[in-house]
Amino acid sequence: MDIIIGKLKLFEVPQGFVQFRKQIHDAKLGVLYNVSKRYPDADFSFYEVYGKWSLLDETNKLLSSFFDDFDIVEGQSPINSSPIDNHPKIIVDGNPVDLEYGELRLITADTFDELEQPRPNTVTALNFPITEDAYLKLKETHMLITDIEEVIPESLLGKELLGNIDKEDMLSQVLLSRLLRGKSICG
Amino acid sequence: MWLKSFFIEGFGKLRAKEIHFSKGLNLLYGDNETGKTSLAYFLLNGMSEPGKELSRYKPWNTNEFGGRIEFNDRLIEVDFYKELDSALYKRKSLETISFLFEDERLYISDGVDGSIVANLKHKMEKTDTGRRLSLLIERLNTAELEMPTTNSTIKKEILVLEKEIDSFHDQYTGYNDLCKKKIGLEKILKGETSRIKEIESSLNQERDQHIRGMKLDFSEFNAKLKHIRSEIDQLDLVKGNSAESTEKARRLSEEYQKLQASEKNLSRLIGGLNAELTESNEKIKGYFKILNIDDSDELETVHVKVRNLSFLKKLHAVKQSNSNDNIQDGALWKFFSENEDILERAERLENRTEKENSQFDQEAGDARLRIKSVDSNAATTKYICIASFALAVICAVISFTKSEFFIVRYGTVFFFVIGLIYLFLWSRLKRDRSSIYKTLLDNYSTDKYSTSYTTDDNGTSQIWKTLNEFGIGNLGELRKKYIEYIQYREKQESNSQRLEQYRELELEMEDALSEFNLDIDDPSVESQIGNIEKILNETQVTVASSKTLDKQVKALKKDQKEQLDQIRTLQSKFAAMLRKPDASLEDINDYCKSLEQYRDLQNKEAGMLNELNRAENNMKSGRFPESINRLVFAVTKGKESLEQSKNELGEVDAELKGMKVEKQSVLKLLEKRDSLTRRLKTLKASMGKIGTIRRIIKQQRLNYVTTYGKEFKDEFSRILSKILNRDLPVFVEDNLTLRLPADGKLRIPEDSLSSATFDQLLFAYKVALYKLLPDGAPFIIDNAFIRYDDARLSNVMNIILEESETRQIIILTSDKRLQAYGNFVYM
Repeated sequence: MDIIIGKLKLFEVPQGFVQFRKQIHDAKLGVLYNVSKRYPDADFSFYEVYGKWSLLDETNKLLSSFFDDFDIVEGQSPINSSPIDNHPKIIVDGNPVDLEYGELRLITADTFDELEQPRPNTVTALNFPITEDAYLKLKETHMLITDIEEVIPESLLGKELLGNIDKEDMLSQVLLSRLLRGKSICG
Repeated sequence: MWLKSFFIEGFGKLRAKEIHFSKGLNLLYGDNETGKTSLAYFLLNGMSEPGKELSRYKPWNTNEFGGRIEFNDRLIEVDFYKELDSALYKRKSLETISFLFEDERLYISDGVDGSIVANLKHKMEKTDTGRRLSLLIERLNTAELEMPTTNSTIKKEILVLEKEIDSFHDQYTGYNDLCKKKIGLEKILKGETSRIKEIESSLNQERDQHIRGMKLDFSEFNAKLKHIRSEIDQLDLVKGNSAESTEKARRLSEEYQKLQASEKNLSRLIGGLNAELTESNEKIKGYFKILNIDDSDELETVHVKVRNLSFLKKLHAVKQSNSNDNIQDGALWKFFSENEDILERAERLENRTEKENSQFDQEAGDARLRIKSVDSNAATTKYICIASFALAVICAVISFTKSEFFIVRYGTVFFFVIGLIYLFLWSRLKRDRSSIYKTLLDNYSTDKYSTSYTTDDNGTSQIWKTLNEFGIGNLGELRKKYIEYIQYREKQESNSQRLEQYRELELEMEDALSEFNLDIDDPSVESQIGNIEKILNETQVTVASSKTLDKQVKALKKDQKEQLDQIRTLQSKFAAMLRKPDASLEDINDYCKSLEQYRDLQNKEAGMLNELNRAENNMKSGRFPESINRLVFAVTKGKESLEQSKNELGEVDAELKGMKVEKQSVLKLLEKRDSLTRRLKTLKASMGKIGTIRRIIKQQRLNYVTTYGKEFKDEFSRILSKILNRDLPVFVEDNLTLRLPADGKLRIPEDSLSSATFDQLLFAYKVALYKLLPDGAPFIIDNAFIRYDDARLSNVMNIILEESETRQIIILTSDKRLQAYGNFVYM
């Protein structure tokens, strides 16, 4: 049985999601594990298996831990087996096969509204800082990449001012908090 | 700032009046009409802009209208006739906050001056909270201005990071290149190692096989050698001979064998030739029998006879061919012979036919002329007939239509009769024409002309029919055939002569053939003659060949005899050699064979010994065949190459180990880049939030500034409750107007309060205002407590004493109760 696995790009770290590199790497390893268990005696060909930050020896060693017989083929991959922002597929004896393995989605959010619904298997990079309370609350339902900033008023005036801002408008709260603490709002 | 003293040169009824004050509370006592109020207005107008009341205080008996006011830090010259350059205080503000007159009403009911409110607001802005809010807005503005710069700074930082990351990526690329090299070398090493192993294995196999083979060969050689030696030992006939005698024997043996072979060859040849000779003689005998002779001497005679017979045969054939000429057209020639006058009869018939034809032509011409004439007459008759009938019809029509022309009816009858007559004539002419034509045709078709070719009185017609059967259709053809018939008759006569000659020749041939037992009537006589000729030729050839063979046999027998002599000589020599006088040929042959065998075995033995020596030498010196040497060379080269690759791999490995791949640094940079990118995005989003935040802070500041009313109310209520010893519900409007709720409405205080309470309300109002707007001016009270009861006065004075610690208070009074609170200065 000949199996083609493509575009895993091991050790590649998508920009903006470096913080979740381990989870991304684990998702890719999950695909390898899944395939190695499903097709124990197959011959494997890997296309585009090296990512930007792959070390050849390290990657080969990693693949050897899953597969006894494999080839690394240069050239463009005919299939995308990466679970990152993609439903992974492989080619088995010339036929594309869906892997029953969930994808890991990487998205960015510009507003707090976008975090209302829980997103399983999704890493969300927030383009704004949030408070620790909000982070702890969201952490239970989301995988978040964000900057955490305290918005605790040190004075009555600060409390009054922060109270005038919509609680969902995290960025405004953070910016005002910085202002009140005498910090630059430019971060 | 506190008022140190003043000197009034002239103001109202006051002249040259000077009073000194101290910090804190100053009680200036003066009875009624002593100028306390004038003094208060002098200070009010001197410290601020002149008011409307000033004209009331213009002195009537002096030109001096003013004085001096000395503060702890300045001296003000007051000349109310002169225009002021600038006032120390604003009149309204000073009058509202720092002066309390008896029976004063204005401010509480109508609200304070707008400038005071503005001042209050300004003052609120100057408070800590106000300042903090302003500072926030200021910072926000600064940040907004800084944002584009920060944005580009972050971008630059990201670019720098990218470069740094790229440099690390180069590090990774370098490492991976080395890895690739290492992997390649490892592959080569693996391949090379397994290749060398394979070569070594095949080398070992081949070497083992070779050695095994050699050992086997040795043993085989030895066995063979042993066998050969035993075979040599068994050769009794030759084994005891010396080398010289063996050589001699060998030569003799060779010679003997040669002679024997030659003799055998000769015997074989002689045998073959004898067989041929016998066969040839047998053939000759058969031929002689056919040729009817006894020996070869008669062959010449037979030869002559056969030649004669051949000549006769040829002549006979010619004669026979002449006599066999075909008589063509035999039936016709027979017919001609039976009718010798046929030609004359045919010519006569031809002449008569020609005459009849010319007669017929003439008659036909006449008939054509007559038909033409009849046709012409018939046409004329036809036209006249038609015209007559036409005229008859016309006349009939006219007679019927025009009755007056009755005479025309006769014309009708006349033309009709004429028409009938011509019709009759026309039909008659047509009949004549048919009859002429018929007559002509009848003449042509009847035998009158055509039968002349076929019938005549002598039956000529039958002759032509017969001729036609032979394909002769006219006189010309008949003449040609007749000439051929005459030629035939001449030839026939000549043939009968030749036939006679042929019969004679046949008789002669019969005689000749009888000598060879042949019959001329035999249909195969010709072939038999040819056969005899052939047999004769073969006999002659065979006889000649037999003679040659005979000669050859004789020559060979002679040679054989000589060789047999030589063999016998050799035989005697061998007998001597074998020391066996009665040595037979078999013994000699056995000896020769043994000798030959002995020699072969000796040669083999020598060869074996050579081989054995060579193999032993090879084994001792480790020499192997080329194929093994090639494998050894390949292994050596492979190992050298392997060693080289190992060294190279070692170098690459060392280089790889020495190469530093700073993963953590890369990760830090990547994280930093992510962080900066996020910061950049946050910054961009922040730009959109600045407006909201500014609006919120400004709104907060506005809200805060307008809280002066509340502060005022709090202060005012506190003071008032201190004075009244109770809380008085007071509503303070934005312009600081006071209203008191009564009967469900807000009413002006004058309407609800007694005069004394209202005075106390006013006092509290002004003290509270000063708390909010401390302008530093002394608080000048002009006999305002006169209607206060003792308790409230006490309360007020307690407040004043408290206040005097922070500001100067000058009380102008005519109330001696105040003496209890300080020393009076008398007016």
